[in-house]
Amino acid sequence: MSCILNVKTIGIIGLCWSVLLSGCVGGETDSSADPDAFDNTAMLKNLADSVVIPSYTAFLNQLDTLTATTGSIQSYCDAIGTAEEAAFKTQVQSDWLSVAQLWQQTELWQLDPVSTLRNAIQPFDEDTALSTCGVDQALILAQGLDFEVATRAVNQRGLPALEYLLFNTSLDHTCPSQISETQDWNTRSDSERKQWRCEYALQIAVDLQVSTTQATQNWEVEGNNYRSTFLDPQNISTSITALSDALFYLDTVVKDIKVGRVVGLHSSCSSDICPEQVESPYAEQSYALIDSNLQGFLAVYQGGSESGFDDLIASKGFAEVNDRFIQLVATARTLIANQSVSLKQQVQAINDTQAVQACANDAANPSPNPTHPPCALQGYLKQVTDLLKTDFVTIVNTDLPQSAQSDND
Amino acid sequence: MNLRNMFFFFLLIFGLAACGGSSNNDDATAQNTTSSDDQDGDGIVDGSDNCPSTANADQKDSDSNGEGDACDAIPTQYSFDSKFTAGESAVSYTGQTKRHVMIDKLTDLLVSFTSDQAVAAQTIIDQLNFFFRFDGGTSDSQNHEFAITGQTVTPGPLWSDISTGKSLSGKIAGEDQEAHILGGEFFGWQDGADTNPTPIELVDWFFTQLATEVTNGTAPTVVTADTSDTDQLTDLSYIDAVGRDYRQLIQKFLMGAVTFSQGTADYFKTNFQTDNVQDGTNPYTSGGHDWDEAFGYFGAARDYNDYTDNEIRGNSGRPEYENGYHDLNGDGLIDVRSEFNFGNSTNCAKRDAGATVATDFTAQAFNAFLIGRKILNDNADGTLSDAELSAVQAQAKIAAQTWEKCIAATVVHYINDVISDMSNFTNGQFADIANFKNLAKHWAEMKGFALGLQFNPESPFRTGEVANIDIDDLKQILSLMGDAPVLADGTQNGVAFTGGTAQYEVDLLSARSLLQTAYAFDAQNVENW
Repeated sequence: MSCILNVKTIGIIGLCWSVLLSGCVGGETDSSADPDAFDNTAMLKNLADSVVIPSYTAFLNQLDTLTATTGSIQSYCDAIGTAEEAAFKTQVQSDWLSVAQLWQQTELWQLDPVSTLRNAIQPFDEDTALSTCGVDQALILAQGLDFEVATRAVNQRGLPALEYLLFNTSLDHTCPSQISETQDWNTRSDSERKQWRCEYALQIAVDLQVSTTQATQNWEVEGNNYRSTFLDPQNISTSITALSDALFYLDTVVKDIKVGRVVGLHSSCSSDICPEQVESPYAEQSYALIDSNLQGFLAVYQGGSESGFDDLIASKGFAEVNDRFIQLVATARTLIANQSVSLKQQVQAINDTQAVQACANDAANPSPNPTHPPCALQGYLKQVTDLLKTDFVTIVNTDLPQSAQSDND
Repeated sequence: MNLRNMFFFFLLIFGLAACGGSSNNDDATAQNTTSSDDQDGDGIVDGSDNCPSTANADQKDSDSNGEGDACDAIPTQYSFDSKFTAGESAVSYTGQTKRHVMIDKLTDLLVSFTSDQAVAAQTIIDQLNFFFRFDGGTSDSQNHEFAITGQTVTPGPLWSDISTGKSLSGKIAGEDQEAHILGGEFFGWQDGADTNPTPIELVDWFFTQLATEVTNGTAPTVVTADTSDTDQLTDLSYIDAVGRDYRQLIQKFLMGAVTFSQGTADYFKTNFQTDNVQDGTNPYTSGGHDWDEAFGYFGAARDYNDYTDNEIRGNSGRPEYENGYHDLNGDGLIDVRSEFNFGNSTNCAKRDAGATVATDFTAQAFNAFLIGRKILNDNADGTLSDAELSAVQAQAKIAAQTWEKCIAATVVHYINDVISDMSNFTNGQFADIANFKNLAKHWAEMKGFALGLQFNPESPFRTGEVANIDIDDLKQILSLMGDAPVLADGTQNGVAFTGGTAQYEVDLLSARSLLQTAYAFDAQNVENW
């Protein structure tokens, strides 16, 4: 193996040394620590067949709860203006959350078959945010005959657009006055505006179905069969690297953008805090979505009950690294589980110099009962991603993806 | 002695030796050259003549390709044929045109705020961001509404007809590339700034200030000496009580932080040697296209050299040119992509027209654009030699520095206007409400343009080419101007200014003097611009 020299901590030097020893002092090492003994193909096969491909199937199935003719969106549309409106709205919002959480798990395995389609499903990263005006405009245009959701920009589609349509309590549009389509929107009745939003929500959900179906087919043997490419013995190293790179979503998006930017600990926030850039501003389910990301991380890391990265790492004699990963992720998830107030509201409470300093302290020294939980969560996530950047890439023998090579925080 | 002089020197010695003529006969070489040696009779023997068929005693070779201009003319218009697609133009910069139109339409919106608006401040900010943070996904389908009285504008009517996507915010210094905040420091404005200010933050601050001013339901009170005049500024709601005209500040700052920055710090810094290869299947090279984009940000019409200065500025002239545009292709439409003068290209003409001692910023800048583009197009096969690369870079530098002179001379012009406005103060009061409005306007133009001087890597404040001038001098200039004018009552931004208006005038003259030195401006021009 090669010891990566661009790692950040001195500790890794010791790790490299111990890996070398484990590889060189054969008499001291049992056969399970022999890198050649680990079946990489079996791990990839397990991850493809037990984690990745089923995740898209599950997502599609869950989408049905929204899109079916008797699904919750249509039911809500039908109930607008009736006594049952509130109940059906609650149901459709609950279904949205279930769908969104399933997708958030898949964010940890954004591989080739999905990467281009992913933007149409969950267009959220450092450079992409929902265009609410675009949704407002589109839902009016959607009343016309020649409208196609798929022709709209990706920042007007996907799960964020669906969240906006189903959760935003204000019925007014969000466009500047220059947008002609929305100019008379605010004069329309509440029931009409709710109805149009609901009808458009159904179109968005169906568009999600189309994109996800394509992503699924890209993997399937009967489809474009990326599975075969993924498991091709010639591509094992590439596939492991691709999976490893995908795990860094936890670093570059979850830690930096979903949490770090919002609490003002990332360079992309130029104010003390940026609560307006929270991932889930209307449903206020950011914590739930981040928890799903962590579940997705564990799914790839542990491979369910079969072979995953933890087995690969253990095979090289570093079971204690697995223990640290599992413990750190569990700590972060426990912190999330203990929150009863949304991340957005908690960040809005960081509203003076003293609070900003307390946030920085919570991030630097995260604890189970911090003053500002989002800041502590950033700290916990950093502990996980620091381990990814050092021990993980060294043991798995991959490089840091370029996007994760600087912290910006 | 340069090479050409050495050539003449040896030719002279040879001529003297051959003819035994007098050393007083300076024309000996030319007169004694036989027609077979010098077919065009320009005094340069054919073997050494860079254009043997046409007389060109000056041997001028603007594009440094070894062929004289007399045989290899520099185009007079910014028009270059594709080397890859027969019958197509190699020139394209529609995105830059679209951004000029955005700035123009944003300015129209600002000008429309003649009275307080009964809407929330955020509504105003959203309207401004329609242009600044232009979202092609929602707005390309809207009419751009760029109109010229009595003319039909093309392309249109939609924004997407000019170009799809594009925004101003995405191209402001620092947002496109962090490195375009040159030296890692954006400076020159303190009010509202944090410890690490950026140009986009200043624009947002301007927007917020303006939106507050436009929606707060109150008009600034201005104490004037004219008892017949109202003391309430009720007809221009984009000016605040301390004399800042946000319509001017926003427009002029965007010209610097977006168009000037992009042209000089981004596109002129392309690696033209490696990038002069075809851009995909487009009819141009990547390098040529980058050059076009710099030209597009400068804003000149393709036949800019055919206009008089007064025509470019839309002041007077031949009927077909007099309003700053010209139907070059005679199709009865005014094409904003090629037939209209935008942005800083008009400032060059204004300063040339206003020069006491003649300047020709318009021709200097435009010719540099022409020559550089010709070299790139002539060599649109990816084989730019070191000499050709040097020639392109030299022209880029001329264009960038002349472009900056146009801006700097405009700053001088507005310093003079501010000082003139201040001379109308009477006993600590404005002469009248117009006096206040003029001061606010002129000060904002001065400051808005001056902030832009920091975005050019070839600025004399950055190159070290001018003795005793460096970036601290530009910081000093901006500091002397302050974040608001000194008003008739001797206050600046609500605080008594030490030394009052007299000291502020001294400060502005000091700033003007630094500009004069940095750009080697003629003293009479500086006095009179």
